Amino acid sequence: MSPAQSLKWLESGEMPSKFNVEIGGSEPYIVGGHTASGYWIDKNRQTTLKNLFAAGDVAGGCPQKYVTGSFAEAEIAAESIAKEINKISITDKVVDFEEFEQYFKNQSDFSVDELEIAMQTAMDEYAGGLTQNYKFSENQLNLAKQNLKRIEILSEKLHANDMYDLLKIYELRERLTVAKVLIEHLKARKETRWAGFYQNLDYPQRDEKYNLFVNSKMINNEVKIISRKIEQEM
Amino acid sequence: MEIKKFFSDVLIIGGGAAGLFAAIRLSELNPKINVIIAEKADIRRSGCLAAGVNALNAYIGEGHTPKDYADYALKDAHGIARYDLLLSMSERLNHVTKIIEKLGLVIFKDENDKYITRGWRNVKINGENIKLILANAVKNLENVKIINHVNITNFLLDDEKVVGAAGFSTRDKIYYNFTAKATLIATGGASGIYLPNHSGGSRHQIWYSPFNTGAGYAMGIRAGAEMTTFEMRFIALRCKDTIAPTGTLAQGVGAEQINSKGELFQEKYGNTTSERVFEI
Ligand SMILES: Cc1cc2nc3c(=O)[nH]c(=O)nc-3n(C[C@H](O)[C@H](O)[C@H](O)COP(=O)(O)OP(=O)(O)OC[C@H]3O[C@@H](n4cnc5c(N)ncnc54)[C@H](O)[C@@H]3O)c2cc1C
Repeated sequence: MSPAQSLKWLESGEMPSKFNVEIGGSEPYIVGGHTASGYWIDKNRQTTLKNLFAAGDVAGGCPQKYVTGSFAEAEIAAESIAKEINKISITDKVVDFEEFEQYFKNQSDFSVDELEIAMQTAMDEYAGGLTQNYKFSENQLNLAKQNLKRIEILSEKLHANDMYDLLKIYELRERLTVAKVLIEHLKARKETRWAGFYQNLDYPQRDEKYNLFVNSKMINNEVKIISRKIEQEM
Repeated sequence: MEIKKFFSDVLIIGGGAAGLFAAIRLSELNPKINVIIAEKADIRRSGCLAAGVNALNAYIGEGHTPKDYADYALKDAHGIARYDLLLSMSERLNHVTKIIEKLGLVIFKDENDKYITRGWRNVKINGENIKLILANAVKNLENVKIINHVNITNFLLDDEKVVGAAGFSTRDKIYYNFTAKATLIATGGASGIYLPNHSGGSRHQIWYSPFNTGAGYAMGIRAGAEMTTFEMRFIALRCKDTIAPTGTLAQGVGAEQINSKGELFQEKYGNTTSERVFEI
């Protein structure tokens, strides 16, 4: 049994032979090794961007992969890469590091932690978090979107004193990007499927019209939804 | 500020389960391919496997086929999954299990030298050190360079082509620029999007790795990659407070899962992963 659970039994004296163990749900995550969220990939595990491959929890379309499934995908990706590598020629590119430097120069009235909690609270209350029993409505999602937009603007101004601060700023910005896409996906599936994981209060029934993939692409900082048929690339 | 530039055939972003396994396979296929693994933490204890796991959750037990596994996963996802990906993944599950065992993972066996399974899809392991086993295997590979403590933030783009990535050291003022012919993104999923179920000083006591923050998704999104099915969120059903797995109790020890009325709720309301969360 997990160390934390064993310690809890020992410390409380409420041993499982006498007392029931309470169970409950966590807050929601985006994780392609358990569900189907992530990069849209082809059978070689190449993404829609050329020369970029994906494997494990970051790759979509293939739920229930866990450790061994992540290994399996890694193998397939490695084999595809090994096959292609000698055909690829590239030109050297260097990123503009001013993007990082800016955060050391910024002035901000807010800390990363404050904005992180603001984001998490908005997602919890308006995008079907734990305190809402994972349920959401379209009106709530619109409020989540508005809140996130404000937090995103504030996050651009965050100030870093050291590399750890810079790390935390990037972690927040990554989560904001994921949340922004997530909200559009939640809005696009106008039905309820996987109740527990996905309960849309405006559309409480499963609708066979939505036997499709809800995909997306960010174009000019706007999320564009793309529907794809299930049979595709079968 | 210092800038470090690297060139390689392959850049692997994230030295977790997938990233490290890919490096092993690449070396096996062609030891001339040089590989860089850029890892945010330290590959010995990073990502979901940091503290170890006690089972391999995807395995094809006796009397079953890869197709059975793909069918099961498709059904659990209520039809929203890619069958081609599921099948090609399933076909390799037992093969990769053999490889990780050869690398040193202890898989429990019965008196007939057969893996001890939990149901038909799951084998029991002594997996506290699974990440160290992978890390040691990769460290011995001559064509693989490991760079720990570098947080990757952006892909390098040449039109629609990815030609590497950039990031920074999590410790010193060093910026990194990696140019590569092929890039594998393996940064795991995203936690911390929602308010966690513990607050204050315990807010990182969550199910998913708190340091997998969705970097890989975000980089791809910003670069215009197509994403799928984000709306199929994952919610873990866990022991309250400790986030300990319920599977160990339910399947391992055979404890019944009941609601406050004492009913076996799975029998009554359904048993897919999402249904179990719905029932509580
Ligand atoms: C609590 C828990 C228990 C689990 N138990 C089991 C189990 O018992 N059996 C089972 O089969 N599966 C289990 N799983 C699932 C399994 O662990 C995952 O599916 C698998 O590890 C995914 O592999 P991955 O390589 O995609 O992610 P990970 O193994 O998490 O690797 C991701 C790596 O990327 C790194 N990284 C992240 N961001 C960046 C960045 N910006 N730059 C550079 N590096 C970065 C991380 O530090 C990490 O090393 C469990 C998962 C969790 C969370």
